[in-house]
Amino acid sequence: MILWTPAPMEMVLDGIDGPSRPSLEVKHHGRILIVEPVSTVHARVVRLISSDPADYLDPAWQPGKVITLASTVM
Amino acid sequence: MPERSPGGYGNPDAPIQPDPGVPTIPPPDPTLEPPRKKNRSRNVPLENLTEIGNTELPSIRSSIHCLTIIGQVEGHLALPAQNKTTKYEHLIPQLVAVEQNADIEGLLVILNTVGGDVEAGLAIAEMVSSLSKPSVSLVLGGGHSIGVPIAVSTDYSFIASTATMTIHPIRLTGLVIGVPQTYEYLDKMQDRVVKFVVNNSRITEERFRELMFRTGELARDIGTVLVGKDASACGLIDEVGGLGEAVRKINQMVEERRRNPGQPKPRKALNKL
Repeated sequence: MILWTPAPMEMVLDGIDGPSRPSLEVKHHGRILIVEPVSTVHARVVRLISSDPADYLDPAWQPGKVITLASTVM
Repeated sequence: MPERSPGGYGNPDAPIQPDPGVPTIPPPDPTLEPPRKKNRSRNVPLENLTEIGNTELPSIRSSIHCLTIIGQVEGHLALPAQNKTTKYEHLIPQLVAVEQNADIEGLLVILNTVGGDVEAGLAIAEMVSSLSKPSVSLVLGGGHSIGVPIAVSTDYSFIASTATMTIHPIRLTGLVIGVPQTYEYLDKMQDRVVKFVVNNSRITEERFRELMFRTGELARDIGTVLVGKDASACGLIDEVGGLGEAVRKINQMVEERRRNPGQPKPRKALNKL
């Protein structure tokens, strides 16, 4: 693995041995969402992963929006 | 006066008419009712307006899809959480979908990346360059290191006038084994990138290597930082422009492809500067 970046390596790799931030990747209505769990059934949207620009206009997947995970993970 | 029922006052089966002298209570206005829990899903626009001050936008289906490559290009190693990353496992299926889906006619690649994994970056760049549909890239902010091959992989490339691209040699991180093969391995990796950039842009190999090994420009490294028009002047990027120009160009290319379907895409590397 070769990292090719002008960013200092000590900054990029800082904390690589430490605990990772709890983030979850879920599929919600066919779209991949990166979410941060806020409770056992709810999660806050961090990022939407989609190549369709129209998906980003949908308020349902706006970053910061709390979604119910029950239908996606159970 | 309301019309009387045919039975008149004496008919016990007649419907009861409201007494005009007694004020009647109007039915409750549904718009004034507080939203009930049951109706929540139907009130998304109102909820968004009150919660985050956002109004609903009309839904449109776009025939141009967009790949955003931000932060570090993440490949074989998951980077620590403080890095913003673009993962190849997200991009590669999207690229396959863009190629396969008949409703998608073009691809816009937007870059603001600080480099990253060489192999992941090259994989993305190879996939974009072999796409049969028109593609346009736009470098905003930065398109450094491995961002360079991704930026040139599209049929036409733009760079914002304030955006920068760092061209510098590949370094080895972590354990370095001090044998001549280490250098040869790195040299081989670098050749892969240089060849790809030269084959997909109008820059010559000599010029690209000269920019890569120039001294006295970067504080911590050798190499060059190209700002906006410098990148287009050396033939690496086709034009200086922004989102408007990039969208106009992709629409124009899609239009041309609709008129001449099946025509091979022009190769920009053939007209070297």
